[in-house]
Amino acid sequence: MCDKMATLAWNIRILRTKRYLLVTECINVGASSRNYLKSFTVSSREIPESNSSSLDAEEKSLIDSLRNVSRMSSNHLKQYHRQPPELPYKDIIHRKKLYALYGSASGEDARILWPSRKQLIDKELEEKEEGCSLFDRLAQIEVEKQERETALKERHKSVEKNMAQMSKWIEGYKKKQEVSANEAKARAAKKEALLEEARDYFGYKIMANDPKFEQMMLEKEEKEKKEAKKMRKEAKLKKQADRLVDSKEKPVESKNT
Amino acid sequence: MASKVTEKALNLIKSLPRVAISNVKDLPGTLYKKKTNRSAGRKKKGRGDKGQGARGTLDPLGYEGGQRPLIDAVPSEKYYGKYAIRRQYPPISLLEIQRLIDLNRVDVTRPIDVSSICNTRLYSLDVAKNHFGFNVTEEGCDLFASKVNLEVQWVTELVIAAIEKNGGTITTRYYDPQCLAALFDTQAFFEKGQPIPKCKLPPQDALAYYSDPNFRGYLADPEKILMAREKLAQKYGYKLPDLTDDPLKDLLLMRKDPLQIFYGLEPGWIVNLADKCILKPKDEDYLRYYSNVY
Repeated sequence: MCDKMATLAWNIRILRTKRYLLVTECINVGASSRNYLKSFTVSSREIPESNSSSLDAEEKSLIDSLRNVSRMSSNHLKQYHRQPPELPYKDIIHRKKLYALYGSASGEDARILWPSRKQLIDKELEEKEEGCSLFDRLAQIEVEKQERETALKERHKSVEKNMAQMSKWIEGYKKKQEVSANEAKARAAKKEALLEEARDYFGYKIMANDPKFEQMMLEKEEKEKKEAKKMRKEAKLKKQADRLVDSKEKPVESKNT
Repeated sequence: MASKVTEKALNLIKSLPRVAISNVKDLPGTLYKKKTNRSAGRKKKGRGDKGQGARGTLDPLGYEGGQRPLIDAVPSEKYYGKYAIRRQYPPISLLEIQRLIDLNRVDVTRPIDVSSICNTRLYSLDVAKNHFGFNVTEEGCDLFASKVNLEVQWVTELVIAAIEKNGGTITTRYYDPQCLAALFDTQAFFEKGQPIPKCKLPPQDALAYYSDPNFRGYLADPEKILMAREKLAQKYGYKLPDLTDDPLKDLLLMRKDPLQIFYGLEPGWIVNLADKCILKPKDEDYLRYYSNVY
């Protein structure tokens, strides 16, 4: 092995020196380089031929390693040549990714790409439980559409019904407004009359918010109250008296009859 | 016989990496000296000399010294409500589609769908931004002059009329976010080694649209779609080209299955780009799962 490596390294060194010589000579000679090129082609053909016959896998790999001047790490070099890297630890995610990127060369079983049977059946069950059939969902949409339409129809119906009564309601409203306006007018007239009375009493143009006028109004109110009370009392007495009269008259009448 | 637990543990140990220089970690604290007791010589602890900052009595965020703050002064705009969860359909106009066709960015001898638009690398979709596909807008509807089989996510009546007037066909199709991501970047999806997902059905609030023949929904009754085509032609006043004798009939009537997201590939299959092969499951459970929707 050692001998072989030594010979190989020697051969490669020869090749390199030859190439170097050739390049230098080409530069030196210039136009007449064809002969040297010829000599190079001959020599370069000779050396690989002599090697390739005796090359085995080990030597090839050795040559490759010597040729590799990229200074990449072995894993990076492998990935560069589309070969799977050697990972110290691979979980299922790594293995899936390796298969996806490097295919069967990754050495993984393709079956790992799908979920396991248990996962699949669980998923299916979950979908069955969560899901609702398309037919039911379309029916639900139809029901909702119908509901919206009926609600709109009902609304239109109620609007039409109300519109039929509209003229009547407007008349009623106008009447109501008239009544309230009349009432306000009457109240204002009454107040004006009172003010006029007060002006006659005090002898000057008294305002409605004058304390004297207010006092007068209060007194008048009290007076009216008292009068009303008196009237009620009188009415009550009169009623009693009438009753007495009736009770006296009735027996007489009964005797008479 | 060893118990299951023991077996599992042994398998785990076997699969775990050997201790090597590449996977030995440094002891905690050896790489850098942890800084401790920073405030030993510091009285103020970086908070300034005195005042609200030092005492931690700064006004709450948004407080404007007693006056009505901006957040109360500006009326809330309800039409932006639930913006974060709404489906978004980025626009692409008919003019832009015509331009893609004229410049040979899309192939009209194949049906045009999300993936063929995205493969131009001129339009992109982002699932993280709630994008659910393309909305074809009406701009350039008078200029559109291609006979295509278009499959998009949102259209209006005028767009449908513009495409069908030229003898083309159009379908509106819903894709769930996972499928849309696969369609957007197909190579990245295949390099993940995942089985092609079965497309979910649209959510309830989108189902009405995708089952409506007037919008050429993919879940609508095909016979109703034919009727809707006739109706639209009458409405816009053009003669509907006859598809029965059309040499492009096969292309124009090419449709995906509701569960299918790529033409020619079925859910559950795996495309391996390294081996240039398609892996198909054969087990009954798997076939049943990938060909049914619940």
